[in-house]
Amino acid sequence: MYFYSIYGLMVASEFPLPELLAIEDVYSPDVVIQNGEIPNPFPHQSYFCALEDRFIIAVEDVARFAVHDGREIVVDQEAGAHDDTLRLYLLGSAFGALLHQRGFLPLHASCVAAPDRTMLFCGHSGAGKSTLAAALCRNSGYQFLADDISVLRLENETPMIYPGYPQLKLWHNSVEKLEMNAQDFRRVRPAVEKFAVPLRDQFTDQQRPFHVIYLLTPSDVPTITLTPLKGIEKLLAIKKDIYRAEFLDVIDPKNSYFQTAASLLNTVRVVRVVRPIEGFHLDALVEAIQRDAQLIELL
Amino acid sequence: MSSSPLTRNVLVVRLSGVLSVTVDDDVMLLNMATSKYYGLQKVSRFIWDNIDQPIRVDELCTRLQNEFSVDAETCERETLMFLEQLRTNQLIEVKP
Repeated sequence: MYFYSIYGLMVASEFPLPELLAIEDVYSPDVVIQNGEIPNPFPHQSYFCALEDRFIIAVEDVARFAVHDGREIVVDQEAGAHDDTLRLYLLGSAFGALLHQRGFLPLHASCVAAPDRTMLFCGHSGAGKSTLAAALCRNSGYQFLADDISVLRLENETPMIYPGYPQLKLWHNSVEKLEMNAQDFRRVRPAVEKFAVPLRDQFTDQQRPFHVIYLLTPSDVPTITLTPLKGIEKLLAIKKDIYRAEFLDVIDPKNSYFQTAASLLNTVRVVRVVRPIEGFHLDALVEAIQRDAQLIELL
Repeated sequence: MSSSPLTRNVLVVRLSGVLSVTVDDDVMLLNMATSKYYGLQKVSRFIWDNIDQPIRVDELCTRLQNEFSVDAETCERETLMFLEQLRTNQLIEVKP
């Protein structure tokens, strides 16, 4: 067994998960990941469904996952499936389902921290959340907490973020833009020009309160604009960035995520960052974010 | 399913399949039956806050007049219009 810490959970896994933060043996893990057989009634398809008390995710030619009670993931790997690909779906969709089962709010977001401010960058693939996080951590001395999935939980009425693991997924052009060499990194899955970039020195695994969520929105505009959102606008905007929201119909039929999200957003600043579609604008984005930070101080 | 006319004498109350959450000063509703979301602010929010238990429309109007500066006639007319909207969207129940 291998032992890891992720999102404030202690995990025991039959599979090695080298991208995660390894820890000493755990007597009573929060999550157990193991091999097992999962029947496949619909071969040659990808799908998800509830089967008795398990949430089943099937990824064609890769694996089936059975997620149970926020505590257990059983993995049935397809013969010939690459381990890197398996881990991509295990740490992605399967873990997403587990987080929803626990009532945590996973957002499609990266998370970084300046000394006095922890921030999330929300947005879908291509919006720039990973590139921006990498730039701030490598060039501006920010700490790195998460890429891709940010886990938010309310602890004693304080909205907290629980760090993930010390790795970013970056497309080839982002790697180059950040002045790194793609050849130094492995691909996240074979034949795809997206790379797993470790960020161990800047990573911190301590959960902490977060203060602001930036929604990165590429649009047909000439310049970057920042617009703070208020009240229900926040909830409507964030709803779109819930990780694997489609699982909620099955996992959370009573819609309790709605109350969880509202409570989390009450004291959090949410800012829509509209940026031009063309180009990176990395320096301009970093500057805009830092200027916004100074604005918060004045409020 | 009652289709009582909406007048000052009837009782109104939220329907149970409607979730409501507060974000800052706004209230957001999710009608689980229709999967539609609604936003309420200020006056509409005040009305929603006050119909968690069945309440007569005239009593609701009295509370509104105490809270906001509005004359009785305008208050009743606009409150009835708003309640009708809530009923059309299956957010409230109207009882004689």
